[in-house]
Amino acid sequence: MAYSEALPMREDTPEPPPLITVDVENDVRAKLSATWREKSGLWGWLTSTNHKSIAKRYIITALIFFALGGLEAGMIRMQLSRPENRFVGPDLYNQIFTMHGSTMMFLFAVPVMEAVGLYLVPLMVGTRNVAFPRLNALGYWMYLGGGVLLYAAFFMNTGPDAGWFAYVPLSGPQFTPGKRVDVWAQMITFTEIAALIGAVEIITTVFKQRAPGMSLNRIPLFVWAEVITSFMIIFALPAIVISSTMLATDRLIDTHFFNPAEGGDALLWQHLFWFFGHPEVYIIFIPALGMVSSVVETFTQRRIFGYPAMVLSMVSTAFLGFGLWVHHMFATPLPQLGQSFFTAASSAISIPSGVQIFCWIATIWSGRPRFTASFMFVLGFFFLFIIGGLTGVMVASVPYDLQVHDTFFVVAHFHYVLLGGAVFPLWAGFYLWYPKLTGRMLSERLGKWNFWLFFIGMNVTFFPMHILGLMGMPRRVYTYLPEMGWGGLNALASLGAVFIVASGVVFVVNVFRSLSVGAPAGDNPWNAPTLEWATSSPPPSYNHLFIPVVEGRDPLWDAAPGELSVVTGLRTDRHEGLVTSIMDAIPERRYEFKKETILPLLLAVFGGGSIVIAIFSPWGVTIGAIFTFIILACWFWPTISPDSDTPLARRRLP
Amino acid sequence: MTAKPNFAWRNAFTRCALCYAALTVIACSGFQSALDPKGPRAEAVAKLHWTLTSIATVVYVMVIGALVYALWRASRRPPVPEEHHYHETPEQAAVMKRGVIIGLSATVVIMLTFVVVSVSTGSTLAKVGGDKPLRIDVVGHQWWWEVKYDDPDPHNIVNTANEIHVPVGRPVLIKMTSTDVIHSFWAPNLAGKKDLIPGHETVTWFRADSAGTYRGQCAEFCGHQHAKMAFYVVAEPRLEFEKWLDQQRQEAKTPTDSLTQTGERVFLSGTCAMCHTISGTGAGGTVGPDLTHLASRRTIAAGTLPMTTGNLAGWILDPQSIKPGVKMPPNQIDPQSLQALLAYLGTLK
Amino acid sequence: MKRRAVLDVALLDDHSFSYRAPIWWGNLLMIFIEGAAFALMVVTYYYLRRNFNTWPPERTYLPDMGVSSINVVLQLISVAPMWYAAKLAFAHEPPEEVGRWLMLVVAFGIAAIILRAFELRGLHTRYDSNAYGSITWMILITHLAHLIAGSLETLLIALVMFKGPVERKHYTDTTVMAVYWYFVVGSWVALWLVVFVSVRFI
Repeated sequence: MAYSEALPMREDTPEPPPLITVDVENDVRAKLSATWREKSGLWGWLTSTNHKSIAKRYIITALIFFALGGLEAGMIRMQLSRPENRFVGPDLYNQIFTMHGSTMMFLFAVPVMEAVGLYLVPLMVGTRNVAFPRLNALGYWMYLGGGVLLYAAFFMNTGPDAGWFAYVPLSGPQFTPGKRVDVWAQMITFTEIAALIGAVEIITTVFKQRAPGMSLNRIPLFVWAEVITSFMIIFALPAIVISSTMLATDRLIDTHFFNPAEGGDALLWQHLFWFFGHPEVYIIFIPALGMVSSVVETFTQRRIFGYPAMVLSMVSTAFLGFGLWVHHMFATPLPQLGQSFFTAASSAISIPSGVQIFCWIATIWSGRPRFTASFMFVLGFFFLFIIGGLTGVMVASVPYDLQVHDTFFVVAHFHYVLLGGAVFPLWAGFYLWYPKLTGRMLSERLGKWNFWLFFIGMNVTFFPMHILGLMGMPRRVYTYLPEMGWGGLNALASLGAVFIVASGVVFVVNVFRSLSVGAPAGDNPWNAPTLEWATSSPPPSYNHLFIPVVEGRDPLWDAAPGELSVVTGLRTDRHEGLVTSIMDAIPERRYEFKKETILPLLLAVFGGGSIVIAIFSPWGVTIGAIFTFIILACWFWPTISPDSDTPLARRRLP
Repeated sequence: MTAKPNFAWRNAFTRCALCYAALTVIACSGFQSALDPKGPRAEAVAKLHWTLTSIATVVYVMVIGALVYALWRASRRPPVPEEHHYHETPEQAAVMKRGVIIGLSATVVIMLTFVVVSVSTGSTLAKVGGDKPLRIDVVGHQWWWEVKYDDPDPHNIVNTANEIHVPVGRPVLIKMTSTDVIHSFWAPNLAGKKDLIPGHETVTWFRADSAGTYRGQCAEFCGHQHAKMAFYVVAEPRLEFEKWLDQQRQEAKTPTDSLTQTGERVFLSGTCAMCHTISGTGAGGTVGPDLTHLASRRTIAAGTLPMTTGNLAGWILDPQSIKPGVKMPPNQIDPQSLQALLAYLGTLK
Repeated sequence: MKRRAVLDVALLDDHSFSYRAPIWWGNLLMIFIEGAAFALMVVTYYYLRRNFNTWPPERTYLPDMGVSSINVVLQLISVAPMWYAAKLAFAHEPPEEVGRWLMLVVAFGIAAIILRAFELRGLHTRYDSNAYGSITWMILITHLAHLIAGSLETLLIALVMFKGPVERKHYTDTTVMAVYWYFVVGSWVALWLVVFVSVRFI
């Protein structure tokens, strides 16, 4: 019998609604565990549509790419540690810095921020899976395909070498013959599809699947961050979709988008790329802002001050982020008045960031800070990101930028904002949420070593670069003359890299060691307020035993101690969740999540294979289209579940 | 060529410790430094640098100070009653709100200041500072700079490469484009950079207010040898500049002794003339730099090597070992012919 | 952790239409993505105009209005059967009826695809002639991809409707398809105005 028959709706009775008995809980738990159990073995792994399994894969893959990108950085620093060094020659160096940038931006930063969201958002909004589980799986396989493509090519000496933003005409058919840049352009195709898929998942899940009572003004700040980021992805990625397609067709079938001889324009590439490229860095940064909020509230045991201001700040950052792209092009012949507009906009974007920083400081002031490793990483974020933000406002100035653009000053700036503003919060997030993902606590002692090595290394590596840039050292140079006087600071920067590598090693040791010897975490070791902490660590495959009902912005702090209000009535014999209204999260429908299937992997293999063929021949597109159609037909072909409770459609009688 | 690795590290470490202590001094002097301005454009930006850095430092100290204060204060506060455990008290809320509003207002004011200062610096820099600028055309190539002093009289046109001479105190207007990929013209002692973009003409200007030799470098990644695409701006008093210009306008002198005559023959009969021009001879190639006054230049291969006979010999025999990927192929020349060629090239002052 | 049951949802329906259905949102977001891509192509089209003295470039005829006008009109007409099919689906009418109207849409779609080939010829330029050719072909081919995808998807849904068995929740697909179809037609009207009409005035 359906569970609900034992418990009719009782909203308007004067006594409080009944507690669910232990027997009933155990019964539901057993049924849900059976229904939601992930298949084991290789087949189970390949067909999984569980958002947590997929997100964990994403995170681990992204961290592997982070390590690879770090190795590339290490090679760059080795080569630059001395003038006229011969560690690597110009061709390999140019590939290495291109790989470093492309790996970090396309294969690490955006995927990991989305992946943390794909893991946590369904838990935080109180649902059982993302809206489109099979699409989510496809996203991961496409991402993996893109990364494998890029590195396979690199190891075959066909790695891209025109910089991570591949300016034309250098990256065009005439000046970089061969397949290097085509590989890069198609890697973009894979990763852009994955990013767009992640964005669609997060927006749909947050709009339609929030726990009852989680109205818009009760959505956790991290979830807001992920939603805002996802909207940015939706509107920014198309720019690189079409520009990379234009580059690919220029190279493969002789179109003339960027060929000045036939009316094309080298600046068109820059406009289109940076229209994507600038929002891209906010796509990386805004989720980190959400993580900072989660960490600050947990380790000060205070709700974040100024919730509406925090949300509006993130929204304004997102909007403003679309209006800054020309600041990457100040050295090109664009009209001065137009450039001044971008100076103003680029400076203005510091205002919402400033509001957030002041709100966090206020929150800290009113609370009781606990200096855990996670919180230390957030403090590191403050120290480092603000430096990056300030140098950012400096380079927003056109005359200043004309001196420091394309020098190591700008390299210092963006590493401060990317490492300080995104990677440090990400590490804070790892230290906060590792217990939830694994059920074990990380070592706080190793965590603090991790933090200090990273913090010191970062400053020793990147601060001198500000000076180097002002001393005239341009970017992307494989060597420099001894008489330039840059040797000392370069050697220092390379020394810093050693600290950073050491911190990475400490992190890996901490992660692996804690899996076996870490203290058991329990549901909520930090007494944090958001819903992911209302379920076990690690969460069961169905996330929450019963969908929670939320009464405030900090559900676990606002609820009566030790108690949680929940929803009953969802079926336990199929993958069922609850769909609620957008504004106030009033329950509307029950929703069936799709179960495991091999189709996403098949589509990634055949579709991805066609994309790889497209590197060599335009027929790849046609082949891909045919395979995609066939597989999508199978994907969307409706199935009737045997015990479905929706009526069959009426047939007109003859 | 280099010291042993551990010696270099120790040496570097000591130097770097000193560097950190004497940051500004090191950045301030020298060559190819944006903080050692020798002309009004670079001067204005250097001033802007100090203004912006000072404001930024003050802002940083204040915000971090607020953070540290908040941490300290919060750590010392006694525990609060149960109902305020997770929420601020109304009194706290009032203080926090005030703090955020003060911070926000200060941020807005500082940002406006930044924008006003920077836009006004920018507009003053856009106007060419002075009358009757000297006009020079620069064309970017992978990986050298073609420099042309144009003139209505064709006999007075000067074509040279990688070295720009200018008179002190007179503004110089440079029109630029590229024949291949995007490059960027940047002499930090004199001015900010401007890109050279194929299919577009870009313009920059500067004025050298003191005599000297200023190094510049390509600042937009342009392929294999982007790192070795430098140039020199030589600012000299007006009379010396005129003398230089007149000299550059002459065709190459016909060689007089047998060695240099042999050398000229080696040049003209070999592959050199396919890419290089020496005006006054039959050599008219335009793929590579004009060599008419090669010996008057300070460097070879766009600032890669100082101009000496030995370096020139090494360059001619095997440019790929010095600047791999460059378009000039290695040349097989027997020692005697090489001697003669070098002697001839040495006359091209 | 003790749990208190405050709400029971067993009696809620498990299928929904339009903005209540997650798939509708997925479709809408995809429309945003593709719409942004088209918008950027249009911006590129006008940006490249500045690199030419005349537009279309020298020795290129204006694109043919004849075929392209027919195509626009046909596509606009195809909105009607699609709208009606969606209305029937919303009212849970029998699947064959819905399927019949969807097949009519498919017929219009196929006609549009065939006409697209003539429109491409009517551009009087090749994708590798110059930047004008490249951008106009890119716009037309990308939209053609949408026409093909839309027609094939509609065909698939129609086949499902005919073959059955069909649950009421499957009607959502028809209504979502309709929104996508409106986007395909609407985006073409905008793109047609850019490529075939505005070219005569700029």
